Amino acid sequence: MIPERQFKLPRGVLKFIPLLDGKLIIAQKVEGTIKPVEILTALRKMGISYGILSDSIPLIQRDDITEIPVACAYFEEEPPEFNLVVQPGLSDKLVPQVLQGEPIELLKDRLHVSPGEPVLKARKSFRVVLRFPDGRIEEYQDIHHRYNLQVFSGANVAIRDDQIVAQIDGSAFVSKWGKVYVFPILTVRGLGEIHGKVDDQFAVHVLEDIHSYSNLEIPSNLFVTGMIHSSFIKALGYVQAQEGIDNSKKIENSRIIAGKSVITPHVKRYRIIAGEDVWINESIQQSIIISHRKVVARLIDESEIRVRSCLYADEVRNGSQIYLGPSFLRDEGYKRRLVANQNDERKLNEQEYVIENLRDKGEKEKRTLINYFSRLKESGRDKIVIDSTMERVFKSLQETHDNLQKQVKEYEARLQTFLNNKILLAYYVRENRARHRPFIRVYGKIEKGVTIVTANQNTKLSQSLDNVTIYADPFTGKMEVVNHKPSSESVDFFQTI
Amino acid sequence: MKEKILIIDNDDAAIQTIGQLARVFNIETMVMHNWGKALNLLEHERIIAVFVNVELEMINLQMLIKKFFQTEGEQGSKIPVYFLYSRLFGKNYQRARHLPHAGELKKPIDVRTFIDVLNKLVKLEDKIDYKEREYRDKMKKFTEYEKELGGFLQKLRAIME
Repeated sequence: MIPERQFKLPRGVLKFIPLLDGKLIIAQKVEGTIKPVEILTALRKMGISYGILSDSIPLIQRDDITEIPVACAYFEEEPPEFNLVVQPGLSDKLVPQVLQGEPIELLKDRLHVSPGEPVLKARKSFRVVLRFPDGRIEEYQDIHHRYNLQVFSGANVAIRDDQIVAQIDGSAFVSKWGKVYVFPILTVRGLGEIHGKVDDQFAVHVLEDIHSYSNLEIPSNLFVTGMIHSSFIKALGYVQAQEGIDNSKKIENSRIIAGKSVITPHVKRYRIIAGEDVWINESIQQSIIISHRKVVARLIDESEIRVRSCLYADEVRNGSQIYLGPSFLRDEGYKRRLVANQNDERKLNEQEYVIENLRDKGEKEKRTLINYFSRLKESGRDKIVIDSTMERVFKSLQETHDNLQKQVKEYEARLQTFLNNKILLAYYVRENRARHRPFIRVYGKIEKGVTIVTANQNTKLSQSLDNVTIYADPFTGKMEVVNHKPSSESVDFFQTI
Repeated sequence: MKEKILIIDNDDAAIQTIGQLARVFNIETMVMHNWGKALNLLEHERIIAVFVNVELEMINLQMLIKKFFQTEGEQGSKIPVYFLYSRLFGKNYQRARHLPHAGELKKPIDVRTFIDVLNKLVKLEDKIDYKEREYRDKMKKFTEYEKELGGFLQKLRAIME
């Protein structure tokens, strides 16, 4: 549990008090005045980033209020935890090899699956967890009966017990939402402008080069044994070009957008956007690399790198700019899904009103009918008048019921969509949660003149640095440089971090 | 219907403190600045506790206590009345403390004490936000009502035939 902690702020002293075993965090104004933004910064420094009660925080500015609740635990439904059975093997263990220039083998075979072969295996099922303000979770109950693993099936896969298995022979990948896709592999000799826009439902293996002006959009993986020249490529899976990526024709539209990682020996004058990692075992030159996870590159020269989590390099040359941290990356797909989910929630709330109104109407009509019946029972007079009125109310009630039935069905379907989307969003958030502070690890030299930008600091190096790690503080956005021993002495790349 | 706490006070700081803490645990608050004609408003509410400032001059504390100690709450128990006060040796407080009540809170309200009181009233852990459950409960209620109405219509149809 988080202990009580006191913060000395510019114009006051603030204390955080955890209550109910850390489920509720109270902010206490010990002395002076405190601004809401100072509370938020102090909370982040304390590692509290969940269940923030933004409504009550501004109250601390009042002179007559000294204590306010600032964060509270909440229950949420967690997606299963999966074991990847089919994976590309791009682990951190590969970093030293890549930085020494060793090529990465073609991933095609690693990602190949046969019918019936499992791609994902659920290690833990859907469950309810209590998320504490400091991010800790306490597992409450298994709720596998409320969801279907089908939520995570993308294309050409089936559910078998707690596994997602391939239905066809093809190339597999798991999207950022945890959905599993398998597409058949289309092997072609080369690809060029002559082929027009290629947007088939295949994984593609190009045996030679992708020539300039090609336009390829596929929902799967792309493997190129040769080179990619000045083309527009969008693939939802991995993109691997074994001989490099080069925009020698300087075509502005040349870019690679990959849902997963991009792997190649060198990149020149290209713009690459990768949903996960970028692995370059030779050099990045005059390019823009945007990576939503990490970049591993032996040499970076006159390039702009935007990376969320970490950058490993052996050498960074003058003219390069490195933007480090999540604030320089936007995931439009996540934003879209989040907005769609919020819209679904709004529609659910609107529909609740409609259903409640129908319920009120139904109740009124029901009462009217019951009254008519009791009156009918009491006196036999005016039977016809009462009957016709009753008929009218009865019909109206029938209509109300039909309408209600329709609305409830719609509500049920919308609720299921909303909950499924929420689970996919939870998967994304879990997979992208920062596990360490963002850093740049350069084993060799980072030259004078390289610009490094973090959330709150923009620095142009005035002198070259050797064998350093530059951390970005997630709370203050400032940089911290750690000098390491000469690389010959620090054999293990990872012990030093 | 959500559970509610009734606050009878005109001190905004106390109202905000109680209100914010209650809201965290999905408990609504109802505020009255005095005690009188609005009594009938409470008839259909699910009040779980009353917090009253005993220093308010316009309050007939005896009547209030009579009203809530005679009203049966959710589980057939009486609705607890807590006294709020700011001056320990104040005349009103000294007079009020001899009346039956469930507890006292000195203003400015100490959050820890209030959380303890709230925890005694309801199990706070069960009140922690769980959106998905709320939606499913609503869905269940809607389906049940739709089925109930369907059943009623079927019976009516049988009678009318």
